[in-house]
Amino acid sequence: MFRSILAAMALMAALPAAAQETGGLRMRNQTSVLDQIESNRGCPLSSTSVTVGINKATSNGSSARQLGATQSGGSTGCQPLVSTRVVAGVNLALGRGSSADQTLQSNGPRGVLATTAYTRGANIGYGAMSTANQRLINQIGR
Amino acid sequence: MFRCFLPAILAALPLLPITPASADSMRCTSVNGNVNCAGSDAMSCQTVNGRRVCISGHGDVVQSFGPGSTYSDPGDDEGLDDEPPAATPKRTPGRSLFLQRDGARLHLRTDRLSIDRD
Repeated sequence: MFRSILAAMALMAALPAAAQETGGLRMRNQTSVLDQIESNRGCPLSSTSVTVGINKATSNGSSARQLGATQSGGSTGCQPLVSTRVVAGVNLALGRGSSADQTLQSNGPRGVLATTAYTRGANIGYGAMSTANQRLINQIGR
Repeated sequence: MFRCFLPAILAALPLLPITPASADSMRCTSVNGNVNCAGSDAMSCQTVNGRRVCISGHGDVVQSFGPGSTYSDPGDDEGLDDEPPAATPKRTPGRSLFLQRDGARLHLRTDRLSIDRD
């Protein structure tokens, strides 16, 4: 009786340990990824850039132009483990006959483990005869 | 405290513009969460990572993808991207797709195909 209880307790203690061993991130090519992590010693672990712009032409016949660019890349030989790039823009041509032109660009490196690119824009030509032109570029390098 | 400001607020009310909000129509499209709107007689074009959408206040819509658009980058939008997959046609290197809705008429153009449908 005592032995069976002891065996059950040992099994219960062993199960969480097994779960911990099988959890975590599954890598496609473990050797290659580990080599890249190893070669990344001394480099930043992550790279994040946020490029945000608001451009508006409110008066009648007005013109508004905006150009925003973010260039982020590791130093030579460095590749971040995690790369996050955010590009968000609002472009408004509100006045009659107005013109709003917006270009937002982000260039960054690809992450060894993960790369997240988030691109969102709102482009509105409201005024009569108005023109709204928006370009959002979220470029991930090699 | 509020009683002190109440007469001032009441006195200022007639000075506020009470014109009704404009009732002009506006057409909007949303592709992968990116919003593009055009009021009547207005024109709006939005290009997100090479996918171009143009709309006019008259209801015309043009979408173009691939090398024919203003930007083409085969390397973007990968990894843990937030955008849902294939809400718009996939770009293929060296190919382009042009989709236009002109009222009730639909035009589709690729390098090898041209379709007009009512």
